[in-house]
Amino acid sequence: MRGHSLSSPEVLRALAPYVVTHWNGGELGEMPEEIRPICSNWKPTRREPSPLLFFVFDAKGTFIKAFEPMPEGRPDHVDQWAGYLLERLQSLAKTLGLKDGGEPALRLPDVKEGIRIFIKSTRPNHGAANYKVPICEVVSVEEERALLKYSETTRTIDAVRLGRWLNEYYPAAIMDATGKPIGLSGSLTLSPAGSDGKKRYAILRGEPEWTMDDPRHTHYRYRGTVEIVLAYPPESSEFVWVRGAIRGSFSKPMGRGAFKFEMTAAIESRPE
Amino acid sequence: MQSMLALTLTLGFAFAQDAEVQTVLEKYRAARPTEQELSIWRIDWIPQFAEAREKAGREGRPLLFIWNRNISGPDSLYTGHC
Repeated sequence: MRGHSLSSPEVLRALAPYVVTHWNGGELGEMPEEIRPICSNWKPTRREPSPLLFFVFDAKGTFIKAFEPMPEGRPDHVDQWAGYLLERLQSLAKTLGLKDGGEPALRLPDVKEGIRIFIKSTRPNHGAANYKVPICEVVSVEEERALLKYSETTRTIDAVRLGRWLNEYYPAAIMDATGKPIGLSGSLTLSPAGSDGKKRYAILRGEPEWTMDDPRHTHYRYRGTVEIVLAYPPESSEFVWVRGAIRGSFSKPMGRGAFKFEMTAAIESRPE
Repeated sequence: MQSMLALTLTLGFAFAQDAEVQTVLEKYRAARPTEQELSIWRIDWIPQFAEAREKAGREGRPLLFIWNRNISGPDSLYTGHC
């Protein structure tokens, strides 16, 4: 749905008045207690209920309506998904007396002090909507600040020590968000890269190898080329910002063959 | 004359290194999604229900709760790892 209706400009505009939250899981017992009674009363209206359900509350927290945001039969065309949801949101806007608030501002995931990583996958011949929208994760900066201190000479850094950042480099749609990298090997080099008078620079480079667990005990490996610029003020060896990219191919064994696709990541420090 | 040569070599070395910095920054800019690609984050996502309800009440806005029954992992709709 991220790549269908939830990316439609009209739907986003219709959702602008709402604060939106979500929960993943099929076990009602694990759901936040505050919402459980409402969801447990929901009854399917179709033979094949939508995997996603929308529950709307007014500003006072009063439950207004639950509905299925996906059209029946899962049509191929994106506009049909968006049109279906838009109709329901427009009807709700009348019920709730909502006004058009214009195009909402971008609110990217953020962190007080850390990095933001965007991951894009290009998966030809596979229309899964999950691949059409980037992934955006944030990770705090902790021991990485000391690890990536400026040095006048090239240093080698074990990729594992940057695992908190690098292990976000994997695609969407891996076993209900339970698949993830379980291993990282190889090393990176941190080399001084000149100065422009205001900042000194270093480049972190390497080609580590990730081990993925999908997690049906299916382990497979992929590589990526990491290139990150780090900027340091003249008076300190601690970086003030980092910006870089990872480029590689993801290859997942499938039967006798493999799913292969390009995967790129952009890494930037926060705050800017 | 020797000091001029040393200065030229130093500046030349630094310039060459800076070009490499620019090359990596170009790769970063090319890899970073456009605003249009990031439009799903025009939604005012609040990951936790209690926090979202509190914000909706405080700001006098309706609350939309999305229950994804198909996913058992964390935060997939918001971050995209699903």
